[in-house]
Amino acid sequence: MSLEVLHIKKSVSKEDWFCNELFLHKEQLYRIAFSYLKNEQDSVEAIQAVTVKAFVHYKNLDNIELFKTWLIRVLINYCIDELKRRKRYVNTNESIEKASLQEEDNTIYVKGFIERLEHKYRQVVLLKYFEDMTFEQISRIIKKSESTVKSRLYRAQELLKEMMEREDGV
Amino acid sequence: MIGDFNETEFKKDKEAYMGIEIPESLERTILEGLEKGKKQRKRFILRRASSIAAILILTLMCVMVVNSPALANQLKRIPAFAYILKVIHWDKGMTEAFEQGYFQELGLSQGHEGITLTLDKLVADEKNMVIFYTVDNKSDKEISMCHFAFIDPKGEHFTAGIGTNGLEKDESRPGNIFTGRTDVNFPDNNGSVPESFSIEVTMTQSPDISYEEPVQAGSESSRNDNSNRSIKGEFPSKEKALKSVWTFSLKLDTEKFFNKKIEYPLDKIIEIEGQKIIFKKVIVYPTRLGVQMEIVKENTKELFYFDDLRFENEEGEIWAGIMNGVSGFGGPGDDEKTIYLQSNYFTKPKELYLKFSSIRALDKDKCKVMVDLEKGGVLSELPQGLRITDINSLSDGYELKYELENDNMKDEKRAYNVFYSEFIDASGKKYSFNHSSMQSSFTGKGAGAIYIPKYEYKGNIILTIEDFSQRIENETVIRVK
Repeated sequence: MSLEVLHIKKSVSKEDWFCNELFLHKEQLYRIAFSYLKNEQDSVEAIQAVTVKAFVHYKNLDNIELFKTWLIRVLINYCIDELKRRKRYVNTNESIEKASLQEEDNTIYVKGFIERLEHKYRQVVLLKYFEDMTFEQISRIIKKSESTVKSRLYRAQELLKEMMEREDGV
Repeated sequence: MIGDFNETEFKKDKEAYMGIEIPESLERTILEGLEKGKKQRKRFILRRASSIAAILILTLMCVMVVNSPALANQLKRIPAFAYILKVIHWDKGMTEAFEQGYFQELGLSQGHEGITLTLDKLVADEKNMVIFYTVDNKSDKEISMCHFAFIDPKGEHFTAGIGTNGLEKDESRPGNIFTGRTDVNFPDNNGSVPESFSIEVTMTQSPDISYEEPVQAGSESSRNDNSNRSIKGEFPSKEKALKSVWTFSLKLDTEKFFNKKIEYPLDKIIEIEGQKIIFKKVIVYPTRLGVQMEIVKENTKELFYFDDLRFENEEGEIWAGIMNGVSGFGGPGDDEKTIYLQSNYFTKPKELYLKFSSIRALDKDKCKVMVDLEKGGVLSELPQGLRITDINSLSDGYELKYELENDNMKDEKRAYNVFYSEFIDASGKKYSFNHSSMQSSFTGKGAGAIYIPKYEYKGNIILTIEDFSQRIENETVIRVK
């Protein structure tokens, strides 16, 4: 559905619609941002940066009904970049390549086993089980096929199981 | 569900996650973001690359949208054409080329690192070539771009401009299949497509910051201090290249592709408001149409762009044209210009007319702008409507901001990129900037900025105006056929 059609149907201004959508998803967006950035100030900044970005670009979306998944993708990419930028500041004597290689070490918020998973596995677990998203939505967010999402989730489950078994001394 | 193993541990994780405290200020944050977004929305960014390739990409992006539903439906029934049709849907000439069988089947595949690149089809003439290709990505890397290098039998790289579209996911096929096209365009006076050549393709992974939307001429983009670092003169280059090179050797079906061009000699001198242009000839290749012209040296104005150059057939229908101005080879000051339009080679009109009504132009003595970067001053008289509002010294360069007053209705949706990317210092040495930004002129006042790298310039620098809102106007018709 095009944006124009949607707005005519709902009889709201584009701006109001945009604002409502942001308000509607604000808690989810904040949790995701916080899970990456781990502090309030950076997470709030992320939400604002993504609001600006989204407001400028959302008109270009082919299907406005995918606004939410697009927004989350923009947010996650912002957060990953922000983490990399931090590392570059910290490791001023190290090469950018090294900082880039360390990206996989970024930790998502959760305190238990999931934190030990590689980023690509943590990401799908978070979106699927914490945010209750469908495979299709996750596929759109991380720009991978649904089968890749499923296989990552399956692999994540196996890894979690192994970790938990080791922990239990099985 | 994960619950088939230690669910309690997992639940704790989820509870911790869902318990993240939401700050009360969040709605205010969003509203502030919305206000910033509004300010930035009207801003247009043009990333200027100095290469010919970039000019050609713009040309391609700007070609007139001509839909041909009947043709499209016919071709859609052939599965292999589905994606190509999508890529060329705006290009009537190219669509017809395919319908006429004017293409070469390639079907050449090579795989490295779990990624198979297949060159599917090729369309060419002596000066241009388009290759359609498919990437089957079975690796865990996200590929954003294929970079094509073309090498002639002597081992030399092509002298052509090469423009490659970003990869598009082919949703109609299962798996991780992406499609793309690459365009090769030789200038009229330099080189041509050889009969045989090799291709070396490298691939880059998606940039680390993929929230950065691609920016094209005429598209809106944001300028967020948090997110768009390029405003500070840094050029984000975060793409990671793969190690492998996909190599192919190709031999063209020259019988099919070469010696197809049609030339229409014109040799007409047109005078508008005292400015003369000699229209020399029109050359129609299957993939590109060129109008060769000479701008008379004695003109008192520099001529920039035609607003509405087009070809019409005997019924007044547009046979070939371009939207949003016209691009061609050559920078400001070049007397010989060739303007390229979308070709419509396979449709043969009975009569053909070249038409236009206005050309953007400015007095030659107003086209040079001398700037003192150190003191932040402008030493030339600027043309009416143009104001340089600020010159800021940044860590790695200078930001020069300008405003352009303009109430011409023809410019309702146009943002002007006023300055040419090449400039000189007092010693005459050439330099270039490759980044600039523009705001639209919806309100009658446009604004822009250029980012000049920091060098040891000798004295003041001299910028050249390459586009401006003043015009010379006259309804002009030249019979071509």
